Amino acid sequence: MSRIPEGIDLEGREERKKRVKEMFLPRGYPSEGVAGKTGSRRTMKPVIDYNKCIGCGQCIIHCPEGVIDFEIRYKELPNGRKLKQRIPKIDYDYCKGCLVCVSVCPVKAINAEIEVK
Amino acid sequence: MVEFDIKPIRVTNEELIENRFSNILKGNHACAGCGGTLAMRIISKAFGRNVIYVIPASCSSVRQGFIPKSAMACPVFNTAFASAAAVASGIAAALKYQGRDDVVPVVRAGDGGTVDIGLATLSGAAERQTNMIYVCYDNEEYGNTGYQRSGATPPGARTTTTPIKGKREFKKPVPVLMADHGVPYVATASIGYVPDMYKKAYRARRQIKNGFRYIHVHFTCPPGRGTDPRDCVGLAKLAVDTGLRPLYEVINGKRYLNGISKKQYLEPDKYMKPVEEYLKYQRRYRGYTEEDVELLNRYRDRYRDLIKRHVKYTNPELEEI
Amino acid sequence: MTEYKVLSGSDAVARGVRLSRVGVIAAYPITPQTHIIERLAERIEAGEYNAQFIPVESEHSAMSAVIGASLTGVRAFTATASQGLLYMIEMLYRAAGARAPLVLALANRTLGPPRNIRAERTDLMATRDTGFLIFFAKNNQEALDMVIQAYKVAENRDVLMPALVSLEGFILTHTYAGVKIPDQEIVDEFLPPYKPPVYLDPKRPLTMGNPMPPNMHHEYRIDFHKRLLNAKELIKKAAKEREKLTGRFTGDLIETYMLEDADVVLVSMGTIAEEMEVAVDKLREDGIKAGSLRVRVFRPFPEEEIRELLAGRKHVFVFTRSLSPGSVGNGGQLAMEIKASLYELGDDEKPKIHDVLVGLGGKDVPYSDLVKIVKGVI
Repeated sequence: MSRIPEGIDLEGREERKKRVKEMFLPRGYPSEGVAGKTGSRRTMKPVIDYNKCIGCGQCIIHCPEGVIDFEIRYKELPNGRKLKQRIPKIDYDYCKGCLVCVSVCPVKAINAEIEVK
Repeated sequence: MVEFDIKPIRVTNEELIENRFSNILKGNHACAGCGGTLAMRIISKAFGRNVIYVIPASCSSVRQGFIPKSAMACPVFNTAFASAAAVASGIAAALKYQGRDDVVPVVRAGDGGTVDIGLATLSGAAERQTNMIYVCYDNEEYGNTGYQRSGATPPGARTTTTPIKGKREFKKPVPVLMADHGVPYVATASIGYVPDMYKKAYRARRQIKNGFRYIHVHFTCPPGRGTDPRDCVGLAKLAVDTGLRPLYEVINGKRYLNGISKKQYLEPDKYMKPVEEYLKYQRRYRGYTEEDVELLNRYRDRYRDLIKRHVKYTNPELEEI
Repeated sequence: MTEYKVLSGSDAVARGVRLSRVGVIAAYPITPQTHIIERLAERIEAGEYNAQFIPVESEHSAMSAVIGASLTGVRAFTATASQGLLYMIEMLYRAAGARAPLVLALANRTLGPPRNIRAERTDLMATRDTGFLIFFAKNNQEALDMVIQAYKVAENRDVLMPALVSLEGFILTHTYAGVKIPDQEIVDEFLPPYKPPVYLDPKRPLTMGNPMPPNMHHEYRIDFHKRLLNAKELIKKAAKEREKLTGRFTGDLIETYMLEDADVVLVSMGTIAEEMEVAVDKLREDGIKAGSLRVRVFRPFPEEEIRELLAGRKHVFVFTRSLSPGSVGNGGQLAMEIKASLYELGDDEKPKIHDVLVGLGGKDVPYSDLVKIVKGVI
C-alpha cells in the first residue's frame, strides 16, 4: 500500500511549509488523495472471494493504484490451534475499479460486481 | 568502459509484496487501469528513496494534482517537454558539486517527450555520460493530449491524427539508438512482466552505480488503445509474446535477451504468437487489414535484425542474467 | 588590495562568475558569447576553479541544466546571445516560474536573417516579460560588478527571481579595458553562500511546478510583479552595502551625468551612455544645457526615479538600439517605457520626447552623431 516513505526528515516540516507559503513558492507536498476519494469513480467493484483465494499476491503486485495489501488473520482450526493467514484487502476509498486484479488472479477468486452507491 | 559487478538477480513475488515503498501515492489523478502508474509504482520500489525525479509535460505531471498538495512522495521537478534530460544533467552536476553521491536524478518521460521532442536532449545527456537514470514510459501515443500519433506509435495503429488509414511508418527504435551511444545500461521492460521490470530497475539503480542508464517501459493506456482497463496487464504481455516488444538488456555493450524473448529469438516458430492475437483486443486496430498485418510483421522482423546486430557480441548461449 | 587588470568584457564577466563562486555552469557556444564560457571552462579544467561545467547540446538545454542546478541548491550560471536566447526563451519563463535565482549573461547580437553578428538589443527585448531582473552594463568594469550584484539581489528571499546581465556583443565582449578586480574576501562578505529556502532533497520531498488552480495562479503571477518591484529597494541597498565594503560605488538603478540644470536630457542604456556623456560635454561647449541619464536596470523599470528626474525638462532624447516594428512612435522599446513613465506628469512638466533609433544591426554610434541629432532638432 502506498505510504509516505520512511526516513523523511519531518523535523521542521511545518515550518518549511509555512516558509514556502509566505514566499509563494510553487511547491506541492506529498499527500494521499489529491484527487479526492477516487473510489467514487468506480462503476464496477472487485470483490475477493476468500474461500477461493490462495494468497499468491498477484493482485497486490499488479494493482496500478497500490490499494491492495495483505492483512494478517488467524484462523481457528478444529484442533484448537491458530493458523496464521494473510489475505488481500482492497482499500475501497481509493480503488478506481479498473479490475486489473480480476484479470490477473490465477484462481479467479476476484469477482467484478456492479457498484451500488 | 567501466566494468560493473553484474550478478544475476532473481526477483520473487514475495519481494515485490513486501517492498511497500512507492513514490506515487494513492488517490491520484491517473485513469483507472493506468499502466503507467503501475510501472512507476514498481520501478520506484526498486529505485528506493534517494532519487530526484524530473518529469516533463506528460500524464505524470497532471496526475500529481494541484499545489499545495502532490501525489508524489519524492522530490520532483516538473519541467518543459524538451528539457528533461538537460534538467537532470544540471541536477547531476549540482549533486556532484555538493558531494551528494548517494542521490541520483531520474527522468520519467513519456514516449513523446523521449523519442520525439526530447530526443536531442536525451542523446546529449547520454553522450556526456551523465550520472542519471532515464525511464521512458512508452504508451505509443500522445496520451495526455488525446491519443495522437507519436514517433513511438507502431505501424497500423489508428490514432486521432491518423484516424482512417492508421500510421504507415515504423516505430522509432530508441532503445537500440541508446545502446549505440555506448551507455553502460539499456533495457526494455513491460508491465506484462512485472518481476522482470523490477529486476531491470533494480539493476539500473543498485548494480550500475554511475553513468547513463536507460530503461524503456512499454505499457498500455486503456483510453488510448480503446481497451477494457482490466486488460492493461494482459495486453502488454501479449505485445511481448507476439514479438512486437522484445525484452532485452544491453549491459556494457553486451546484449542479453530475457525470458520469452530469448526463446522467440532461438525458436521463433514455436514461441512467436501471431500479431493478430494482439490486434484484435484493441480499438486502435479496429478493421485492420491484411496490409496492416504484413506491415507489423515486417516491422517485427526489422526489429529482430536490429537486435541481432548486437547479439553477436554476447554469449551464443544467450545466458539468462 | 584591489587588483588592476586589462580585461575584455567576456573576461570580466567570467571573473565576476568566479568571484561569485558559481557551482554549475552550462552553456552552448554562440558568437559573441564564446569567450565567457571558454575562460570559465579553461579555469575549471586547469583545476583553479571549483565548479562543474556542462557542455550541453543546445541553449534550451543550457537554461534547463542551470534551472536544475539552481533548484538543487547550487549557484548556477549560463551565457548566450541572440538566436540562442530565443531558442532558450521557453525555459526563461520556466526559470522565473520555478523561482530559480540563476544568472544569465547575454552578449547582445542582431537577430537574423539576414545574418549579422554585431550588437543590437532586440534579443534582450524578447526577455522583457519573462520575470527576469535585467541589468545592462556600460563597460567592462560594470560587467564584472553586475554579475556579483545580480546574484546578491536575485537570491534575496524577498525576490528569488532569476537575473540577466546584458552587455553589447563585440563592443564590450571583445574590447579590452582596465578593470578593478575586487578581493575574494570582500566579495564573499558581500555575497554569502547560496542558501535556498527549499531545494530538491530526498529527505524532504516536495514537488515543484505541478499544476496550480487558476485562482491561485492569478495571485501567483501578480506576486511576480510585486517581487520585481521589491527588488528596486534591494538594488539600492546592495549598492550602498557594497560601497561600504569596497569604497567604490558600483551603481544602482540609474546613473546621471550633468543632469541638475539640464534642459536637454539624453537617455539610453549600455555603451551608448558612455558616448552620451561625451556628447553632453560637446553640447555644453556649444551653449546647450545638456545632461544624460542612463537606465542601468531595465527590469524592474525605475519608473518613479525617471519621472522625478525628467519632470520639467524641455527635451528628452531617448536613444534606443532595438526596434519593435509597428509599435508606437518610432518603435524604440526604451522610449515607450519612458513615455509611459512620464504620462502622470502635468502638462507644464512634461518634456518633449524624441524617440531616436540608433545603431541597429550593430552600426557604430559615435558621440558626434548624437550631437548632430540633438542639434538638428533644437
